[in-house]
Amino acid sequence: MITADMLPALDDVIGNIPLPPICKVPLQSQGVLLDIVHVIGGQYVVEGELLASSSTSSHKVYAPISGKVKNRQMIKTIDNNYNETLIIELEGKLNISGMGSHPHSWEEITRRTLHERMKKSGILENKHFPAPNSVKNTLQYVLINACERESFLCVERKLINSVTEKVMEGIAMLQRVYPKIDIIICVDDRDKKAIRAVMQLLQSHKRSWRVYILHQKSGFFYINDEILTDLVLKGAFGASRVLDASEILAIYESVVLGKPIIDRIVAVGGSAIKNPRYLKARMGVPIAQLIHECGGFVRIPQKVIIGGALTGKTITDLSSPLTFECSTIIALLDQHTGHARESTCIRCGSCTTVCPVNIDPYTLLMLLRRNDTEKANEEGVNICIECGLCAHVCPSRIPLLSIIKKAKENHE
Amino acid sequence: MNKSTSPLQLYEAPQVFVPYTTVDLYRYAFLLLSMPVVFGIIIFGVSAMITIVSALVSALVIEIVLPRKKKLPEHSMFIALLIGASLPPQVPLFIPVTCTVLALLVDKKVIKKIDPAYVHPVALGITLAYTGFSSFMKKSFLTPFMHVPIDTVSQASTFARLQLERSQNPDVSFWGAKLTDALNTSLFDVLGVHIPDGLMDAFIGLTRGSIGETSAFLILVVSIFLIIRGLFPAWVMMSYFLGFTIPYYIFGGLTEGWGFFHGNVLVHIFSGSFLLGMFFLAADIMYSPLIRVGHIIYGSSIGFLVALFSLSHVFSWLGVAVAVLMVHFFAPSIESFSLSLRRKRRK
Repeated sequence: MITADMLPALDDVIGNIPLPPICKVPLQSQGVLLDIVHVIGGQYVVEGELLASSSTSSHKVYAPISGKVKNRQMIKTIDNNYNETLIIELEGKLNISGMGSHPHSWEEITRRTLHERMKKSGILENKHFPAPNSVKNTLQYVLINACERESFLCVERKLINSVTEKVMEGIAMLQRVYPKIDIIICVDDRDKKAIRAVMQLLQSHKRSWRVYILHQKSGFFYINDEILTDLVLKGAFGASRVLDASEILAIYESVVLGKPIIDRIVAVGGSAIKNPRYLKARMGVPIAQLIHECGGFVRIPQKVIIGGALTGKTITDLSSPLTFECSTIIALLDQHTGHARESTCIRCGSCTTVCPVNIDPYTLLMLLRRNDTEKANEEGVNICIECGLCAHVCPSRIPLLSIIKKAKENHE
Repeated sequence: MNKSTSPLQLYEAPQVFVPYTTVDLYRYAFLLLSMPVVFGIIIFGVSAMITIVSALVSALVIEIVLPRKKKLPEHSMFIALLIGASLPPQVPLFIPVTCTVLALLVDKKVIKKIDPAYVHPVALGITLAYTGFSSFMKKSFLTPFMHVPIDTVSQASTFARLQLERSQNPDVSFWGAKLTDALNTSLFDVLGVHIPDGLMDAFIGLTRGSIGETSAFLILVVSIFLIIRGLFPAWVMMSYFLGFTIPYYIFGGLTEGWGFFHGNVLVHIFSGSFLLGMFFLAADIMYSPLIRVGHIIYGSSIGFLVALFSLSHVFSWLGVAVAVLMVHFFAPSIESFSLSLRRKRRK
């Protein structure tokens, strides 16, 4: 049974990870290969300096520490693939984390300059925000997600609870650049303190942003951008964007501190972790170091998960470097994962009831076992958002997600 | 960390599962059902135990001879226990064996022409017992040895006539009559209602009946755990209950000449197979529809048919089993209708 005390408490202090002597920066970001490398072996870089970018998209990576670019190596990353990685050895001046950094004011600068500074975070481009003055700008709503997207992903809730003012300031920047958009802040109904703080800040700054209080069902759940938009706006997916609180914080830091994404707040927890904690760590830090900062394992876990309980991926190599996609590290003992041998389907209907997109995994399973792919397509196999809830609730432990994923791949 | 020495393995998503499995679910259901069955064995004696054991042993043999690829022997044992619980205590051995074997052969799709999607195997087994072997069944009901008859001699003279009538009714025991009197005088007379004789015996389990169906009280107790643990769909139970009670309450009094809205619902609920059928037969998750709309249609249809059979005095011993069988024949249609409603909600 998974209990709340396996995760760090929301009022815990965010701990800082010491600067690592070596940072490993994979030349890929969110699955996008960064083919343009701006540094060479032996070159000195300062923290925040652009290391690599993509020729096909806006994805970039920056130096998380100052130091010497040692070489490129093939290293196992958190997606369990070997990827080309830049190795940086700590050396030299710390211009961002050192004493020299002063917060920049953003209220007096022009909208254009503000937009340029915001772009440094890379968030707006990655989320396909239109240019503010573009005629094609049909953006009407921006939803700020401060809820758990799925069980265990608690960092967004932590941020709205602990750095409310910074998040609100980040939203204010966004509003300034996109004055016509409607902003809706989605907060979990359990976070009463955060709701009060957000309401007070809205009143004191006379903001007209709306607050949507999300009532999470008990048990496991899954929310993606589309589901959240549907809950809040009852549609209008094309005219809206969803930004997580951590992304807003990254925008805030890029404007106020001039800092690109070189670190992030990570929740480390699970039944195998001695002292679950929130930690602020530089990109490229080995996962093992974060676990070490939490007192290590109580005993060897069955799995170490990067991400949530449903869609998260397990890793086998704890020296894999931290990247921006990794908001949560969960190490679970075998008695808490619920693994069991597969048995006959008892038609309990749990998979069908729980599906957030109203497909019927039971019928799909029957069709796919008969190799009736045509009917499976009619039954909506391609609508599946791969949240894994169907397989999670299956008491027969039928690998429904893998079966459906495979069918989708075959269809494509 | 070296790949070969890492104790960690890769797992496909999802990473965490619900903390129970199908095996746990049917083990728990078996345990709950075994409580009224054990009570039945206690009050009916060795013959009841032999009936139950023979059903269980035949299920075990079938599991050994015809194992499933992905084993779930717990479900077969549950089927056997339910069939045993639905039989009278003194049936010849071949009846529980035959009925269990038939039910399991259907469940395992060994008899290809009888698809469990259209037939509830347990209901089929019970129906076979009561129709195919009806002459044996009638002789097989026993009066529980704890059923102490009413002693008419020691009663006060003012109650002598009533007690004499009671003593001639085999369904009224000494303790049942005592409890009925106590409840009527202390509570129900004040409320203007009256508990009929025999109801408390049926409630406690001091009356003749099938092995597992005798004690309504015990079945209700185990049903609380059944519902709390969410083993079987509560919507089926609830809609079955309402599907029966509403029409029976409205029309039940007509047959006795009491008019509308005078149906004696409690007597029917506490006697016979109503409760066992509601919690364990109709609501068996494996044979219920997949989603809530289906549960409601399925459960209420069974309840309505049981009410109809009771009002028209047909299928006296196996009303619930026949109702389940009849509704189950339409189960795939109920399923496709309820799923089509769900499909419409897709974006």
